Amino acid sequence: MIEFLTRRMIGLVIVLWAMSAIVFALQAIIPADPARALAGPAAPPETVAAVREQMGLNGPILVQYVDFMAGVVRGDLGTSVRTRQPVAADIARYLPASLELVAAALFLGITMAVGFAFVQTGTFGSAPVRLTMLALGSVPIFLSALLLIYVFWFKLDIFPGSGRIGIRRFSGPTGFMLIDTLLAGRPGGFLSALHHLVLPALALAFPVAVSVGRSLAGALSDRLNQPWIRTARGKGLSEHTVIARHGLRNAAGPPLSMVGLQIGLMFGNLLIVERIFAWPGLGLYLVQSFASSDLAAVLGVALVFGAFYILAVLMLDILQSLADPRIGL
Amino acid sequence: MRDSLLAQLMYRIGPGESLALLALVAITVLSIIAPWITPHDPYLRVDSAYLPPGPGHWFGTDEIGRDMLSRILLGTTYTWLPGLAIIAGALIFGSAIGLVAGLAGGRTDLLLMRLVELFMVLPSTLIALAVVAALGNGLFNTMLAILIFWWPWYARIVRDEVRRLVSRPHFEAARSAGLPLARLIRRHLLPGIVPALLVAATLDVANVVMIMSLMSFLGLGQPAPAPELGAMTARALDSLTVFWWLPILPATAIFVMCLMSNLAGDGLRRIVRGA
Repeated sequence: MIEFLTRRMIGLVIVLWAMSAIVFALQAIIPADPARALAGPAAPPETVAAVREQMGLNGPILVQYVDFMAGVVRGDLGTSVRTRQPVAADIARYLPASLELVAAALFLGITMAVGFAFVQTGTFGSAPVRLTMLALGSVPIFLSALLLIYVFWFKLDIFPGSGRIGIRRFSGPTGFMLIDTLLAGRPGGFLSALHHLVLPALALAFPVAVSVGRSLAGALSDRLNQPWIRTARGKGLSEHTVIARHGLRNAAGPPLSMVGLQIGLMFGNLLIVERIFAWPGLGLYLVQSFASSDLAAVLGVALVFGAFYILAVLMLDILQSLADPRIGL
Repeated sequence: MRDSLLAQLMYRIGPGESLALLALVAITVLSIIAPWITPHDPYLRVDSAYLPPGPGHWFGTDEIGRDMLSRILLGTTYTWLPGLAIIAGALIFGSAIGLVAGLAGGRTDLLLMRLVELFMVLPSTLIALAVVAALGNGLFNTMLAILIFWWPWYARIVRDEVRRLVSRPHFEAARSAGLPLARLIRRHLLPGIVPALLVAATLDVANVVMIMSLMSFLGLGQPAPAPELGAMTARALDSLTVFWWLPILPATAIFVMCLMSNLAGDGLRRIVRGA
């Protein structure tokens, strides 16, 4: 176990290093001028030169890279040219909102996936089910998000369509609304935060539910034809117990890998969902950083997201091995 | 003796799959001829603003009175053709790496596959976004950013298929007969590799279209006034409750493209698996 974790931590560092190196290398190869982008197309050359000096863009690319990496190791991700704040401080401020949203989306997505899979047992592979799942999997995230807002906020007015909480200027020590409202002893605030969480989390959960559900249904329909399932049925267990106790755990491998793949894809979707629902998290921060070519912020957020992604994959690997002890760590 | 892929397709194809394949061809043709068949000029004001869908303008008009149908038609050109180009580029580069790794074996294989694995574990969407943000907007940068993360998947497929094929007797016989390398690859490897690649590539069209529209939605596509479908949706977000067709129709066009590519890819996969 210790050896496994050490190996994976080394892997994590390598992957993060590769991410930053790729972005840096491309920036060096392709003629693009962030100083010009920041100063604006109409700025005089002197201003651009001053901005370039200030951003430390005058040194050789290797020196710039070493500077950046030295900062990263110290936890210093540079200063955002948009908010004029240290990127690390910005990230600490916006991260909890995103984590709350992603956690809710993963919970909803996996629950829905298990539901999808149960509905499909016995019918898996039949043409209507296959086509429905393919169609659901082809819906772009912004279409499903917009439809959710249109139906559940505009037409039915059941759920709010933007923001995180109905109370103005609420903030707490952890940044997680669901925890902070409880700590502050405001159950109304808790319900409001939960209420605001529903639509964005659903939009984000949808692709996870479709692909994990499809993968789970496939694995389940394969396992349910195995002899040990016949034995379990022969013992007189109810069909529910057969699926829950003997089927699900055995079929957990492929869908768990799919969850990992989906978490990787979720970062892109998170940006879209936070933008559409005006969710004040790291995704929205990143979208705004794109618009102002704030490279330090973009790289910083990318590194943090990358680290979270790799940690998530690591946890899934541990889960895999718990579900099926034949898979060693 | 294996039949040619075309022959397999011809007698194994079902009605659903052939319809989807036909739709893929139709979308491709449409996106090539779109600039000439738009009913109105997609860049100019042709009528009053915010006309709802109806006769005259089947998809309505946008905030400055441009015809939405014309803009969406041209938008498919801007999404579909670059998408195909990305897939083609990734296929060529990935296959080359996969062939080298598979044929060379040993240390070269190990080294190249480690590189491929490194690229595969990176969160690709995120880095593609960061790359475009770092390089600046533009079609070329978008394509490059996606290409960087697409080739490893093909490299892996080709490498695995090559390793499988080189140990087969027919290949050993051909190799020991002293055939030149080019002929070995063309006659004895490619026919075995193409089906798996074709399935992956067809399914990937949907993925690439999805990622490109995501980037264009986030303002990382081509600069305005290019009628990119993702950007059209993003710009019209606030109109959702009043002029629903402005954000919904371009997003629906993306859905249709992805659905057709997924259907065709799924059909092809079932054919290849059954073969």
